[in-house]
Amino acid sequence: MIRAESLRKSYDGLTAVDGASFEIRPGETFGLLGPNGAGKTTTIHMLVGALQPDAGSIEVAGAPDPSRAEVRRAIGLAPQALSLYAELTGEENLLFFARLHGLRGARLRDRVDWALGFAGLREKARQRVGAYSGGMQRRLNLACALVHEPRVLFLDEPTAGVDPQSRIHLFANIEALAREGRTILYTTHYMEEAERLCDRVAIMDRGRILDCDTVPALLARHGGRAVIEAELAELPTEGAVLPGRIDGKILRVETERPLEDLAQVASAGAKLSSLHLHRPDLETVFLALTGRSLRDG
Amino acid sequence: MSRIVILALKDLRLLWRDRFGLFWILVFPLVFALFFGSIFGGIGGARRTPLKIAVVQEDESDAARAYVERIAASPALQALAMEREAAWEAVRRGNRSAFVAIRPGFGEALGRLLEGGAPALELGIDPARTAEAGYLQGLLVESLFASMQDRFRTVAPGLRGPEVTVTPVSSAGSRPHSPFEITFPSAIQWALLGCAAGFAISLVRERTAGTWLRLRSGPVTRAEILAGKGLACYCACIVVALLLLMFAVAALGVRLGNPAMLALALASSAACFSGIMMMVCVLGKTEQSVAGAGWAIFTLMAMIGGGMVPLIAMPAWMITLSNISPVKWGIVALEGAIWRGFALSEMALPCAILWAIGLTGFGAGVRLLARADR
Repeated sequence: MIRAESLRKSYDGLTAVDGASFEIRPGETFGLLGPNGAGKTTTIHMLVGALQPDAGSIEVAGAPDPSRAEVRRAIGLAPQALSLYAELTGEENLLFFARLHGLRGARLRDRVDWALGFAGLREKARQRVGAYSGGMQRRLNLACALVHEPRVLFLDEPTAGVDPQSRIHLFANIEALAREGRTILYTTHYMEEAERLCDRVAIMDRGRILDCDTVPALLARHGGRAVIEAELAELPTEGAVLPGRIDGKILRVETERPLEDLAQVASAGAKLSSLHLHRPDLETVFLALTGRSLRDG
Repeated sequence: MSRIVILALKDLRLLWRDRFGLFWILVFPLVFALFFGSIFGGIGGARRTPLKIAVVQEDESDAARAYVERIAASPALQALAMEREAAWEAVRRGNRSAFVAIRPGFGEALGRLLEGGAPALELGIDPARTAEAGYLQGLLVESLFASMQDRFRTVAPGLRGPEVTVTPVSSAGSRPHSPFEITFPSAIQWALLGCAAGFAISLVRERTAGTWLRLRSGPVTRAEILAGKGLACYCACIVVALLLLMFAVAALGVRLGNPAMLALALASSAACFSGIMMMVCVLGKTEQSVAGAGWAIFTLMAMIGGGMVPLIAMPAWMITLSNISPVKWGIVALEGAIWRGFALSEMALPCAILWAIGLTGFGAGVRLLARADR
């Protein structure tokens, strides 16, 4: 459904995207995970035809040129920066973007009504967007991308600056869209979002795709082993065999079978005052691939 | 409904909602137009403020006194008798535009005109008011000539001075009825300039609001987005011009001349400035830079096109240069429609030039926009 091959883009001598290649299958939710400045937004702008790549090729919805009208009718974009007319009402924003996509008559009214319901804004439909809360504006931003019923969705950090309640609402919306079989490209710098929503994830940093696979496969390749950290209430008796190593009262076990190792700790008669299990996650993967934390940018 | 119309309606709706922006685009151009119209024409008739002069009476003869009385009676002058030194100081300080000294022997020379007498006047002028020196000289000579006529009437009763008849040259029935009819075309040009300058920032606003990216990812081309802005600006220009027309007709007694030609002139002027706006709006990436560039370009056009200083007051090279300004052609077309009584064939040249400039502005805007998006 979407294919990017060796995409490159530079601004004033600074390379924003450096040979990015990936492919997104129909109906897949694909995540681009990377810190701010990794090149995610520039990649999306090239895929929707708003920017011309310096090199490389693109295929979106079966066409090599995303600026073609039939491709643009098939795609929907929810940009990272809110892209709404604050002086218009929520309904007027939806009507405007829907009309631009050629919707008319009953279908226009039906789709706008659906989009207002999707965003949970039916009661606020005739209020100016400037008076909406940040979360409501985010939901409308997403609804405007969906009002013409696109097959392919580009969601660029759709939860940026959103309160937890609205974030949950947005997650539910995106999961519903995925269940409907839409193809979604989702960019984020929150690993939890990528893990929860995406079928496959590409790790992006400094304009390059470092690896791309399902989350379990990425964890298996780069995540390392789980870590059990336990504080011992009493030191074990001499002769007791514990996995891992003890540093003062802290027992630390790196393991691929945490339950079995915990059972061994219990059978050795060790009394624990606290226990933590650290499983590898995409943060660990990013750290392993770049030597930096996702939050370091 | 075409996408261009959808885009234009959205912009007009946004304009309507933005009351502050509405003031700058609809109301301020009217204020601008009325201000310049009143400067050039004088609302309520052709009355001008009388020129303030000092009169230094250095000849006490009857003829000299009669001459001074004649000057004082002129509605174009406000004369005040002063001593020479006081008159000099009044002009130097700018309190009086000039002084006129009636030199000793003035009356005697007036009585000996046929024997070669030359009545002597001295004119002291404020260097900042030299433009009025010629006007003042004309008034003084006119009064002098009238005094000479009085003198000759006693010597030769049948003698009469020359008669000058003033005839306005225009088509039959199309003479301007009010001074504002003459300045009205400039006023309309200012209104359209103001409207276009106000609209120029709307494209940058799409970028700052983030909506530019959503528009560009939709099934709409750059040319359509720009044309949508142009159509909205065109509609706003027409509304501004109609508001100004209504005010001019109702309050200033302006007649509409030939309504069909007036519609053609207005449509052409609005198209021209909307086209220029479409080029100006892509000349910067911030509202400040576009607004600055817009006003700079539009003011320059008004300056060289006769929108600020009437073309007749310009040097020859400036009059030649004015041909590149759309303001000049807009004024020509509107004057032709309102009171010069132009036929369609005479309207064709200025209107064609205005449309050509507008379309060139649109084309240049599309090219610049494509370059800015790379």
